[in-house]
Amino acid sequence: MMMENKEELLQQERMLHVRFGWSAGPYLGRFLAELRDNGRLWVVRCPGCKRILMPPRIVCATCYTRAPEFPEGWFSLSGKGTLLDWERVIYPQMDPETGEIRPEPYLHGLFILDEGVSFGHYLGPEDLDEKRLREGMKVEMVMKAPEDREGKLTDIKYFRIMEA
Amino acid sequence: MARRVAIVGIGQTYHRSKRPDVNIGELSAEAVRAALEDAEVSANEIGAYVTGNMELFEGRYAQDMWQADYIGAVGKPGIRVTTGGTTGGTLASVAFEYVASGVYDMVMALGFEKQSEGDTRAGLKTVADPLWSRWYTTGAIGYFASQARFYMKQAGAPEEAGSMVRLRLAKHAALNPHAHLRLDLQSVEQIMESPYLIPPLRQMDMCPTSEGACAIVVASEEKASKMARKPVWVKDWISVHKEVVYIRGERHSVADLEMAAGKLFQRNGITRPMEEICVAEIYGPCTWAELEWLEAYGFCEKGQAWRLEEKGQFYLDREFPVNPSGGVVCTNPIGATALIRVAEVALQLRGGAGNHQIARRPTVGFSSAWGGSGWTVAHLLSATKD
Repeated sequence: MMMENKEELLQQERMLHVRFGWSAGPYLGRFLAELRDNGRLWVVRCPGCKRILMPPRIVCATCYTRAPEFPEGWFSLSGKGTLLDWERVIYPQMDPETGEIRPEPYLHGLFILDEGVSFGHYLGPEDLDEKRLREGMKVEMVMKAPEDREGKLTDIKYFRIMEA
Repeated sequence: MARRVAIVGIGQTYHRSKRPDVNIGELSAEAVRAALEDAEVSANEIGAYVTGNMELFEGRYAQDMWQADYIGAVGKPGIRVTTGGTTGGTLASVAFEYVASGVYDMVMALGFEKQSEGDTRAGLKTVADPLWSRWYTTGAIGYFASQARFYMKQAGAPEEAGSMVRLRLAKHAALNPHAHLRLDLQSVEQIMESPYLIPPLRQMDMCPTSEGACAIVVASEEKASKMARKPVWVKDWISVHKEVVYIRGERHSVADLEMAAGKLFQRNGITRPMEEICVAEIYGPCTWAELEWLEAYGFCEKGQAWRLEEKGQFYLDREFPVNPSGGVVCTNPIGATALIRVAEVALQLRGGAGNHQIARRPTVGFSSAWGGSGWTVAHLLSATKD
């Protein structure tokens, strides 16, 4: 039987703060460093099946061929692409980077970059009107100012709609 | 050669949003005792325990150790399974494998969740790679809003389609005393008034957070043939991962669901799944997932599920009932959720589902489990051994 009288029940609360430190490894590590230092998306092509590995990885997930270390077989993407889909986030969400509730609403887009890989990020600029959005619109990566970059994917400010 | 395996005992708790009246061990014991009573065996006869829940939700390491005292597992072998959303499905698969291998004759699989003890949304965000995609995750709601949008576009489905699914699930759940949300919903219009989470996904499209537990007793053919209950036979099971991080030009991929069901049906000679399978308990965390995934499993052509839903084809009095229990959208104690799918199919196959027993006399049933963002487990159960 469920008991509704909470006074008879003991439930204790704790707030835990736990530190994590994740290793990026030489492949993703290089990607993040190049993003931070040069504002470029560096990727590697799988020597086996010729797919672009985005993010760069030590092996290809589908053919399991080992990918060479930077810079052999690496190149940078144009940062330009096409809008595939988007969503307007209106539900208050915790930002996993900070634990704080993220300001909403905001627009999140999914793009196919010109080199053929898909990628998701914020859509901008901030005053972008959702009603303007159409599938197939051209988008372009916009970086944060160099002094604000941290070697994270959020070093990209957003993807800007290129058409008027 | 693997041995034949049967489900001989089924137990679950009454699922609620909160169970402050019990601790995790006590909650687990409710399901275990129900399964033992149903199987008419004592805990002494259970050779091994397979238990599981969501890894980070309640914040307890080695949960299986804490639980052992409450579920009759002291001094016995066992393992904790924690494969995210698929946990309950994997629990069943591992129990089947334990018995099929010949190592154990009778095994208890137990899944539970007590979401109010931790932070489900924070736990779910840790699913995403911390260096690649975690920063932008919007959890299950974001994923399924995008899935819903994609399905509407691909299938040409109106926004009412999600609400039609919810109406069916609500009608089914109302007949199932174990379902968590047993709302008296009467019309699609009523459900369309539910607020958006992220458009087009509405609150009533999405699964709740539930607390509860489910357990099944799995036995070898030799044991099962001597048991009080009519055994439900396990035909086959499968687990499939897809590549999660790398997606090329696909807005939304259901490759894991397609691969799992495709292989499972192919190797069991099932060529017309909707006719040959009598009942499906599928893991659909939202209404839209049920539609898209029925297509991905191959039950119907792409873009057809919502049309069949519109015609009422998935109700429990029709030829192909889907989620006669009310499904995940009405009951979601996550670590137990997928095991409930297996248990509910087994109940249907032995004719013991009570008010939510399907009209058709079922011979073969399908259950599935899914975990974000690309892991499918599926099972085929049969009322007869062959």
